[in-house]
Amino acid sequence: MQTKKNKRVKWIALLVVASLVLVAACSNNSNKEVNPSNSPDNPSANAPADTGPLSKYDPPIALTAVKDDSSKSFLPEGETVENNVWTKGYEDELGIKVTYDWVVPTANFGDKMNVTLAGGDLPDLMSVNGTQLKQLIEADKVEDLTSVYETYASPLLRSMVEADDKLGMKAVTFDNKLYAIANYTGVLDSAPMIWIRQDWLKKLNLEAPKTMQDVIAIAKAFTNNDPDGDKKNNTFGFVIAKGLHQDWMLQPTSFFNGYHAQLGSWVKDTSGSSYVYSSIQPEVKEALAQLQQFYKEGVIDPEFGTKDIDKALETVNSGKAGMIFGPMYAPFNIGEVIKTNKEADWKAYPVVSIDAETAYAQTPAPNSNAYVVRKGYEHPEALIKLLNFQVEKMYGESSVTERKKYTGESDQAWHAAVVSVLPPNKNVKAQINVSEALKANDPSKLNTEEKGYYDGILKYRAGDMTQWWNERIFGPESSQGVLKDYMDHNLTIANDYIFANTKTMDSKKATLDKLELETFTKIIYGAVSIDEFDKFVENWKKLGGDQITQEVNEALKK
Amino acid sequence: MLSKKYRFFLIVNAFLLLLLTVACLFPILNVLAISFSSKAAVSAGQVSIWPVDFTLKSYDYVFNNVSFLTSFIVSIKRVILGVGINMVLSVLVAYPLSKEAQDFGSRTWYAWFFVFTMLFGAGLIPGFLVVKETGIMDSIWALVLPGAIPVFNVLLIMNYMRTLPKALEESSFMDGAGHFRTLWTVYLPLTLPSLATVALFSLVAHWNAWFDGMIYMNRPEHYPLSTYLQSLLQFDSMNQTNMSLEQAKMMQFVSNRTARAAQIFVSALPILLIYPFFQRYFVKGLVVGSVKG
Repeated sequence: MQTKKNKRVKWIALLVVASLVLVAACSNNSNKEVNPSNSPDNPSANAPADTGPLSKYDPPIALTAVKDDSSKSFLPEGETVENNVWTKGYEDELGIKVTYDWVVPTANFGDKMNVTLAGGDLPDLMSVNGTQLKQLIEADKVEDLTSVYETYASPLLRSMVEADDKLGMKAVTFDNKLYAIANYTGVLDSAPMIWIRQDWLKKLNLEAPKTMQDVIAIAKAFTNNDPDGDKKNNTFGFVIAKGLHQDWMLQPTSFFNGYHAQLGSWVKDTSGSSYVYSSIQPEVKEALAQLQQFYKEGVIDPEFGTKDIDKALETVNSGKAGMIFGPMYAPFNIGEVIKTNKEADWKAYPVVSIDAETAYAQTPAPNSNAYVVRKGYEHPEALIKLLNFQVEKMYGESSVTERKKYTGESDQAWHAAVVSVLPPNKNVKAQINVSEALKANDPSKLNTEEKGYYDGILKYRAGDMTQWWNERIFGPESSQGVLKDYMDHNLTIANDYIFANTKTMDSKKATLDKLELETFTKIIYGAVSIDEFDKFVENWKKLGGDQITQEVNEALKK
Repeated sequence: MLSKKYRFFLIVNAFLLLLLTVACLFPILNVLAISFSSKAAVSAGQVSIWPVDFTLKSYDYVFNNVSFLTSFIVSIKRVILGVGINMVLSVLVAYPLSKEAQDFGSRTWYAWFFVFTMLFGAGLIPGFLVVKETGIMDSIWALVLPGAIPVFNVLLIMNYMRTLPKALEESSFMDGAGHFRTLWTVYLPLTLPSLATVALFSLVAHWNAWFDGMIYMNRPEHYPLSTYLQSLLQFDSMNQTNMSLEQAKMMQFVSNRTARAAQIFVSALPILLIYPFFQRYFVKGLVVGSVKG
């Protein structure tokens, strides 16, 4: 017995030693990897002689990054996400050798980034969301980019990053330090509008909506007056889905905006001194009451609460509904009906008002994705140079000759650039240019992207129904046209809270959002009376809403 | 002659089971029908369990889709390696644990050691760190080694082995066989039903696992099939309230329900085909271990 036990102890000891050796071996390994970059191997010698926005590193420097594989369907044969015209360009013209620690599908990028951050082995260059940025700054893991941005950013890059009163920059600046370059795409593109089946309007002899009353009348007519002409009462006025305004499509926000209500935003209260949550304002109640009325009258699909976007869109694409509330890119989702029914045509209309007051379309907080540099990387300015390079090739002077090379036949190969920013609100400009070119019948002034839309419109007009979306997003009467109208007349109202979640938001927002969605759905269903809304407001405040409101106000007063 | 009551019970029973079968079958048929239908019919919601505008386009797409095929191969590799390792290690662990405490002194200690891992997990991050530090990140080993010993399977095999008469082992020893030989020639053939059950468990688990692929793999071409499928499906439900035009365009490109349905079906097919061959062992293997006779 004694010997048996001794033997066992020996074995355990051996195991422990073995595992220690293994651990030691591994940590040795990683030390070796880190060492060369840590050693005082004269980083200053590597620094470029001049501080030009596109000056080349000699000898070349190495930069590790991470990437989504969204570009893979747009790259030409033989090029890969990791080895393509962009990576070659970086190496040849900037002296930056970009390699990727990992490449994953877009859908998994956020999760993969999260485990990478937790793992602690950070790449030199990362694309992070607002919450991740906050964590990185708190952990002091990212470089302060203020001075390198000042020194290296080209005027072209500045014009994009600082657009709209530096809105994108504000979201990534903390204590007056710029920690990231925001991938600011503008918020205008997210403004909601109303899409109406043009052929149904005509058939029922209805005018384009000028007021909310018109919208209500149109919805009722689409439901009851047999717009599809099959002599059956089988159509709906409009379509909403179970996610309501918390989803990416069919959000009824433009409907609520008509009642001067916004959903899910942080806006100034009537006194203008503090910020309040828009979904709990009394205007919301009025709009909900109308939706409840609609539901009773059969204007809304009675099963909307169980239908996700795909399912709800089936109703639209089978030609059973004539109106949706949604964003400017809706033609990609509601265009299927055009292919089967040549008469069908959707058109975008701006938000209209229920009373004499002007109605404003709400815009969300800007896209919070941003590029950061790992703390301790010797060349933080490389990020700025890479961006300078990308905007120069796509929009600068060299774009005339080189854009095609870098964006490919599809004009989408720029997804392969390690970092990229696009001109904010470029789509509105594209619409203006395309419409002018169509009028003048002269596409010579258009850039490659705009030329693509122009050609698409001509193809559609010649009968190619698959190109229809070009006409309705970029044509003379299109969703971007509506956005231009918003822009010209200042008809949008922004979400003022542009930062990552506050502490209480992290813990409570999901619950509150759910409460909001459930209450709104129940009210529309008529399962509870409209006065349930007041109870919801109370509960919202009690369950953490008051706390969040306070935090938001503190954050915005800074 | 069956009593009236019993006949009534049988009818109701059959009816309920039939209902259950239909409920299970319907989604599969729906996916199958969608995969054989035209895109327009699907987006207009006309497809239920019978294809509309029959077409093989989606399957053409699937079998020419490089990502799908590479992932398929990764999955097959994973299943062969994973199930192999699972089986060898489970048997090697289960055999000693099935011995009486008087023959194997620290049996209880070891048994608890394994059961402990079943009850408590360290969580995502420590798991990630271990995989990273052992240097198996982004390789097939990251998918098969962390779950190399499925403890639940070990318990099943162990319980099954304990039901075998001890005399078998004794006579084997008397004839001069050691533990390994006894395990190999006496125990394994007799535990076949439970081994088949357990093999099926670990096969299904390996085939369906997607999460480890997502966090441990650094290149999409190393993804197993289920991770690849997950990334396709996830794209649709990305929780976003505002997208850019580029994303919307991309979405139209990716969101192809007919092709997706075809991929789902093709990936479910191997398991569907393998199931019947295992099934005859299935019930026996699960139940026999539980009753000691």
